[in-house]
Amino acid sequence: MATIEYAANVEVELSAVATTLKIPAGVLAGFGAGDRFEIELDESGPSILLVADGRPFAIASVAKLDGRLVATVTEIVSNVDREGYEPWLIRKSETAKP
Amino acid sequence: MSQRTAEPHSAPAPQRYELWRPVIGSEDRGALERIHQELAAEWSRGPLERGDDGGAVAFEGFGFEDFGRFGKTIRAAQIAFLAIEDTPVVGMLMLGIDLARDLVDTRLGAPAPAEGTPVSFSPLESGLLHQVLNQLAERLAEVYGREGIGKLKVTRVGEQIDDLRLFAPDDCLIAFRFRVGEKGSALRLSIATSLEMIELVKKLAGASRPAPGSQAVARIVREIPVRTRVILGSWRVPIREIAVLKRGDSIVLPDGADAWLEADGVRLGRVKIGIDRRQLTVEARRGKSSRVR
Repeated sequence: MATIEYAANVEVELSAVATTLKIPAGVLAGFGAGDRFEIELDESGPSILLVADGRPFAIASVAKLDGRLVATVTEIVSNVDREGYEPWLIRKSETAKP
Repeated sequence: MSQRTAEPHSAPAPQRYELWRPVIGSEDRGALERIHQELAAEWSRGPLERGDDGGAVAFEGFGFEDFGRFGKTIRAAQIAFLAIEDTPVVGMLMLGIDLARDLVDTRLGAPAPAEGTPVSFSPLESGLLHQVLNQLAERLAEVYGREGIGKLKVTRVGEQIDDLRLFAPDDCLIAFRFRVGEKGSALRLSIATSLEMIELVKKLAGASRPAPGSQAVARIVREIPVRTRVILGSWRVPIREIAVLKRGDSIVLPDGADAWLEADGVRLGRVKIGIDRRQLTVEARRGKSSRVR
């Protein structure tokens, strides 16, 4: 059986999830070049969810520092209740074909 | 092959619209036009293939005409009487006199008769025309069969349009007109069928139309909410690095130019993310294809 040390060396995929949206399939299918979703952020500003192999484990605030996007961990969580959905607005590209 | 100029009576004069004439929907009209354009192409490649330029068969269109009036506009050398099995559809395939003369001249090498000479055909020439007419009917049967209209058969070949007394003078027909060569060419052939042909085409169009309920299903599908994550970036890290992560630690993130949408582990498309204090924007990226997997 592998020791904990060995297991600690196993790599997993870490993802930074900017937001989770609930989008009707038809809107998603019609989301073409130049179209954009606009999501209004609350007063705490932008944040991301860190997800390890599909499992959320931390929340981080995001800020631009020296022109770079930097996430600072604000909360380590085992059960993330942030998996709600953000309200969004879609703006269709004016140059997109109908 | 010599090209003749159409005589004035070969093209039907405009007709006054009469209320009793049948109405055909645009979809069914489109299907009939497409089928007969395809037939013209088949004839061009087969029995009426010509080596010279501009010799292709062109479908000129179709319309409703009284049998009596139609008979006056057609000068046919030979006529194949047609029926579509297991349907009430009957009709005629007519080889115009000028086209017949032209075919005979070309194939037998005979000199073209002087203008105004009464057109007649020897038994040998008639035999040749009969053969061509059968080939044209075979291609017609192939196209109708392929398009699902039905199994067409030739019931008889004759020289007079009312040989079989298929129609009364007042009967309305659908007349499909074709020409060989450039616009204005006198080399013509036609198909005329009974109106029941429309019903056959309606059935075809009906088969390709979506079922009544499918639009409702499509609407429901379009409204199904898809849980979509906007991924700013991802990278592989050992578990031990995650294990030591604590509040206040910082991670430099990708700049958002190469982010993507993901639903249930499936990457849907590349996006560009813009972040400021009050708003997050997720813009579909331009490119040949935004779908990635």
